[in-house]
Amino acid sequence: MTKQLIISKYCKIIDNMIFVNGKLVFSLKKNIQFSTFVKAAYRYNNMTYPKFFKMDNLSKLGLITAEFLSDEFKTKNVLGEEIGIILSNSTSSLDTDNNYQKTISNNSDYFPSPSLFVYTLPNIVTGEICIKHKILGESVFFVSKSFDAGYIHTLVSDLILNQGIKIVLAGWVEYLDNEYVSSLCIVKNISEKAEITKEIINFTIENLKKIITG
Amino acid sequence: MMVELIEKLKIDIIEALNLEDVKPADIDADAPLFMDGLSLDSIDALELIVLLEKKYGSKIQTAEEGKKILYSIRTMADFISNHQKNK
Repeated sequence: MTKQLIISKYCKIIDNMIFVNGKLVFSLKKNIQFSTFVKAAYRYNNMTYPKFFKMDNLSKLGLITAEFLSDEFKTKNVLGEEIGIILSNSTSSLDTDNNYQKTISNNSDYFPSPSLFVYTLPNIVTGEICIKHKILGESVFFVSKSFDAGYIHTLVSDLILNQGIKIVLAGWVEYLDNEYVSSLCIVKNISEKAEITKEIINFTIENLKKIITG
Repeated sequence: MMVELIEKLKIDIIEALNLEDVKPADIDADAPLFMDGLSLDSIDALELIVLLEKKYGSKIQTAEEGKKILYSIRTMADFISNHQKNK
């Protein structure tokens, strides 16, 4: 059976604004700190996940973005093993790396923080999303100068067409020094889409690039 | 003295472990910190060890000792109190 891959839903968070499928759904003033914004977004989603508050900013950002797309994971006929995640950014976990480094930079105040150390890898954000949503399929985090739509398109397509994955969460999650952007989308076979609407976004390199970086 | 120390410890723990929506009054000083109670995990345990050393100058020496000291807020306060007396 021929598969037609589509982008079924997408979410972008930037400048204290959250857009779902291009529509603004939540915002705070631009000058408000990320910590306040992301906590408000957590409350807006009615989340009860205390572990969220222990996460670093990159993981909080990724988790909140995924939360706005999470209804797409909750498909009855899709197992955790059939959902994959492919994320990327350009600064890896540098924000947390810097914060951790501050805890070990002074010999007279040398107290390495375990809770910061565990977030000094960018792929921890993929792990946090997987834990929250019981995702057990392929997960990977790439560090590249910019979003490589062609490469990500190839990987996502292979997962769905050849590797038994039915749904992929893909995109870009970046946080450094209170500057951030997160743009994720859900890719699936059109037959997995619960509701066929008039607006279908085909999963092409151009559409992926436009949605993630546009 | 011990009551004050326990209250201060509760505040420090809430801050150090980012226990959102938890207030000092919500924490039972005698309740186990792990499994039940605050449901802390292994990373939290490491943060508590750092907290004891950084804020109270009290260093846990062995893993066995650590299990007993980190059992509850009260056992932590006892450890700090005894440590400060013996300084």
